Amino acid sequence: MIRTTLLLSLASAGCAGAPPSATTTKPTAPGVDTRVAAETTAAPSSAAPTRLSRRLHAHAMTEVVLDAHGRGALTLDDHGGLRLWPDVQADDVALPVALPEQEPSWMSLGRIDDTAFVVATIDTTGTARVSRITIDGRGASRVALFELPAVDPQFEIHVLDGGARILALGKDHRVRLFDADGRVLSQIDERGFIPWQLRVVETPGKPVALAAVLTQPVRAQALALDGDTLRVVGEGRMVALDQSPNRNDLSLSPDGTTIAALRRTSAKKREFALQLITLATGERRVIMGNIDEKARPRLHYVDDDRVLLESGSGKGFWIDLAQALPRDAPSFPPAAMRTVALPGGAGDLRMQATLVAGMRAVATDTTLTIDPVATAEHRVLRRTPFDATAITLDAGGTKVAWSRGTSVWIEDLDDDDAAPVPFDVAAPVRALAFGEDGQLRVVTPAGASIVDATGTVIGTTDAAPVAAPAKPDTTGLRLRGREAMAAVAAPTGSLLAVALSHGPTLRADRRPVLAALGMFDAATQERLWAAPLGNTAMLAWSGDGLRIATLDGAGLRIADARTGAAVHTRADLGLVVEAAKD
Amino acid sequence: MPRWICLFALSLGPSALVHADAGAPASPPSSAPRTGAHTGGTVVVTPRGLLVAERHAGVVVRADAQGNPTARLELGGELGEIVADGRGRAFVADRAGDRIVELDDGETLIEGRNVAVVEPFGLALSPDGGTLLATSVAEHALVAIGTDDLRERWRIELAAEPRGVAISADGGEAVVGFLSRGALAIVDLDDRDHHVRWQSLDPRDQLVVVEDEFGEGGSFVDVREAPSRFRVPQGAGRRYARNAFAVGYLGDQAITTYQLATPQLVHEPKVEDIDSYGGADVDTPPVIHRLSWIARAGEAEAHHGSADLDLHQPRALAYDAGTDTLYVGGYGDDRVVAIADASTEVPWVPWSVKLERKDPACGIDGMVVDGTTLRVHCELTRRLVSLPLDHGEHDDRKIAKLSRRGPELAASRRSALVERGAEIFRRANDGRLSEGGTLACATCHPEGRADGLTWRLGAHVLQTPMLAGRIVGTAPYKWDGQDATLRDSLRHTIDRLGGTSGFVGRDEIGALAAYVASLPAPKAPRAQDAGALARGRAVFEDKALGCASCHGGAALTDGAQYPLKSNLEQTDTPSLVGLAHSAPYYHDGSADSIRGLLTDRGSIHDMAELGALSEAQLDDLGVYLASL
Repeated sequence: MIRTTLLLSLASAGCAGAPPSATTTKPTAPGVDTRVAAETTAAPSSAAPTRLSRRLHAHAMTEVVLDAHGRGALTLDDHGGLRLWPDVQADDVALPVALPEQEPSWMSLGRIDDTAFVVATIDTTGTARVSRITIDGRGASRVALFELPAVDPQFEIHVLDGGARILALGKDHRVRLFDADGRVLSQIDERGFIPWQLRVVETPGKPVALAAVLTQPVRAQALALDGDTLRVVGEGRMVALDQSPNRNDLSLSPDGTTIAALRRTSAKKREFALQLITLATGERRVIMGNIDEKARPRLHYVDDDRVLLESGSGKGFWIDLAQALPRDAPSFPPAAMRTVALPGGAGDLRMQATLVAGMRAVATDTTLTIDPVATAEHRVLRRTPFDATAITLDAGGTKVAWSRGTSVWIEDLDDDDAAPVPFDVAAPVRALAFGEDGQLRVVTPAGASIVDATGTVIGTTDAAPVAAPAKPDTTGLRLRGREAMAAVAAPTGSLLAVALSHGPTLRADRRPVLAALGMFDAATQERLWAAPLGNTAMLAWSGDGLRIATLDGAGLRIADARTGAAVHTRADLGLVVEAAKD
Repeated sequence: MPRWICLFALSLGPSALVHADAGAPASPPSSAPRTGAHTGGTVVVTPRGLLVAERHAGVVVRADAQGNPTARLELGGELGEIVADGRGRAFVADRAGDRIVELDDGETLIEGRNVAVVEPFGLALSPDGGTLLATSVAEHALVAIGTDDLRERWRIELAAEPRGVAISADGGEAVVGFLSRGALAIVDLDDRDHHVRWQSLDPRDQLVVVEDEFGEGGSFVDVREAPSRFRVPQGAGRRYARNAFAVGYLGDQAITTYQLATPQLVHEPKVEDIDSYGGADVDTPPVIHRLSWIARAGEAEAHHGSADLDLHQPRALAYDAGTDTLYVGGYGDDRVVAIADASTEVPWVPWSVKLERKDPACGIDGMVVDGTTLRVHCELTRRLVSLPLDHGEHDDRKIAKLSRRGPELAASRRSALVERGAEIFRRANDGRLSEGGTLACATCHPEGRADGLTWRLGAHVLQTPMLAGRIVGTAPYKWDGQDATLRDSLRHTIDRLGGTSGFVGRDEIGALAAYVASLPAPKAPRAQDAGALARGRAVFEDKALGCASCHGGAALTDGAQYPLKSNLEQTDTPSLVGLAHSAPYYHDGSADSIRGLLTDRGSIHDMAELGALSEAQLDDLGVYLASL
């Protein structure tokens, strides 16, 4: 019989309310303080909240995790950036909160209420960080709750609904339940008990459904959480898979009673087999059928009676589990399935789809698809990248304008951070410039117009442009061996902006190919500052030569030309929410 | 007339660097980052010249600007780092003698007081010179010592195989690097509890070997996002940071150099690659080398940048605050790389030179900026190489010619054969020893120890075994005992690395064998509970349990093979010497710790009947095993 252990870290009366000391003292020489880097580190009680900004991902999204209600979401991008979306189902979806954690290999979100969340992440060395995020009128704030350090690495961590309890599976195969302060409430730590994965399914208002995946051989083991007590329930059930255990092929029903094991009968066929194993009794039932693709489908265990298979063709296949037959049935006729459209999961993207509380989500590139499977509609949350074909600053560098295609934007840097709304000039824009009157000139094939801030044409002007200035001489600059790729002098001639190469021996690793923008004093030829620059970039000087704008893959950046300090940045043109039919 | 503001698109060719979100523009730091005086190394600058810790000679030498020895102090055994306070005092880690020695850097070098620390290695002084931090290799600890009375103030246990330590310019935190962990430890020095934060170095993205799709043959490696959590989790393609010997600070940023290994490049190797390390061919080297700089290291808000380095086994760092240039030295290929604008968002490489082109190999293990000269210490030849920094040159070959090699500072205590073996052991870029020379023995076995990784080798993934102390008297070799002798094993390993052992001379193999056999056994941590140690030993030696029947004798192995239930046909009894330092365990690394091994959490279940032991007995046995 496997014992389970209920543990409580008892706070003594003298320190009630304070996080428990998490260090262990080992005896050494007298007078020497000896500690062990603790297993659990509760954040100092004086930890002050840190303010967080709200902004979209600057890079392609790759993964999404939903809270138990299917409303809050965490998204990850391919540069390791993490965002918290408080409510993807809201009528007015707000910009996500930019979380500080980078490159998590695991993430989990628990909802306390509409303005408070608990986020748990695991980094690449197994360090788990748990924090509380609070949304307020000014943005958001973060308070660190506790951390499981790299010397106590974790495979998984799950914030249970409500954010008061956190379940973790360690690389030492211990299963532990923590409270929000990092106190261990309960653990399963048994010899020979080697869980490698957990299955955690939450239906708000109902008990948490738990199971562990054991190996050697592969088995599904029911677990239970009674109050704050973890325990193993019954015996592990053998599972036959056609590939190693994974979260697609082995899914737990929302009520925690059944494991669904997906297999493909042949790599060359569209046939699948789904075995349903009742964990309490070991009873096994089978459903077989055919979908429209040969690739392994994404399996969603939507509710206790139905699964949804996502084939990657854009279609989903609902299967009523009542059709399942005993394993020893003489034959298995193809299951009846209802076909629906599933947006956003084409091809391999199907394996990035997650479905919680009836809400399906897929994150890819600039798009987050939110698809309630009970309806034939979905919404797409799309980041509009900053992409321009022309850019210009006014004389004092307080207004910037850019264009793309036939659209023009004007942004007053003294205004708030809201992205300006573009206006259309009905023709491809060839050039932009602010005149001395502060009004924008827009040059199209039809001629040059003078427009106000709303895009209203208030006049015309000659379209003849000033000849491009001669390329500045960079030979005297102190480049110290770097190569000047291109250079643009300030209108006053006092400064020189030079795009510099990085040289051949310091290589990037799947990061944007970068050069550097160097600013040089034209008189002394000394470099004043340098900043990263994308491999395709646009530069624009203000008329007075005091500010410079750069536009590359990272977005728009307007800097003080002498110091390089950023005056204004914009990574994208905002969030667009589109409703669509499936 | 409107002023047309120039706009143009720059289309720049592929160049370099790395980063997270662009931050502040580049300009020299307002507060000068630390130089070499307070961060330990094998060579430091003092008012009286250069102090050098000749590790394998057991000697501290003072040298002049030409690298000539002017004073020496014999300390006896193997040394760690040396650090100086700039006011006439220095401290050296006497690794073999389990102490830290204070030196009076006066007219003559005088040995002063000492303090006991088991196997000290890395040293760093606080900015005020009042506290000396030392890493203890044996005890996996960071130890703080008051320099006024040379008494231990506090210590904190971190993780196995700590090496370099550095203190931030404001004295508020320290960074520690490790050989077998892909993270740095950041210790809060201002906090009473010395809270430890961990900074990950392992990247999340993975290598993917892409097979030629157009029938032209060959394959290439691409770096891609980690697969979806709904895919089968695989070790293939994951990358791990290891061998972070050198750490430091540039302003507020912690820096370190390390290797990034992909021990399982593919899940199922092709038949022709079946016995190669990582499971792939030469075009996909399983190891690269990196520099990382991290602002707010260890915090959730950490800003981590990194860059690949074109050298092998970086083990030495030196920084010139005046020019904001960082120098990195390669132990495996004797290359020095200069990184300009080092503390900014846009560092770049103005030059990269290889020392010792025609001379005996160097083995760079320490560097320091001395005015306008870079002093490079060669571990293997026990001399200093001086490289002027104010040359104004940009041609690597011309810069290399400017280097000047000083005389030998001390005679080695090791035999010529062992010295030769040490050089071969660390040597990179030798196509005879590995495919394309991409791997050196020291890549997986730094200091003859182990990187803590499991490598794809054909059908198996096998844990890197520790060599130090586990060679003599432990034949046969390899996890399944297939190599009867050490020389057989060395040749087999070279062939596995993609080298050609047939082109490696018998004398070279002999030198390698002599070197690995000479490596001292790792020192065990001191057991805190003598009673638990004694009880644990009794459990280990209990005939009914049978541990000692196989793991007996001086080498803690009977040299026999057993058909355990594993994916090996037979398992050679491994030596348990140095067990505390060689996690994870079993041939496949499936037991993450000694505790995991004893509680049957690994892949081997039929080795001993541990189920009959009580929890207390298991604890005691664990204490004993860690003491081996």
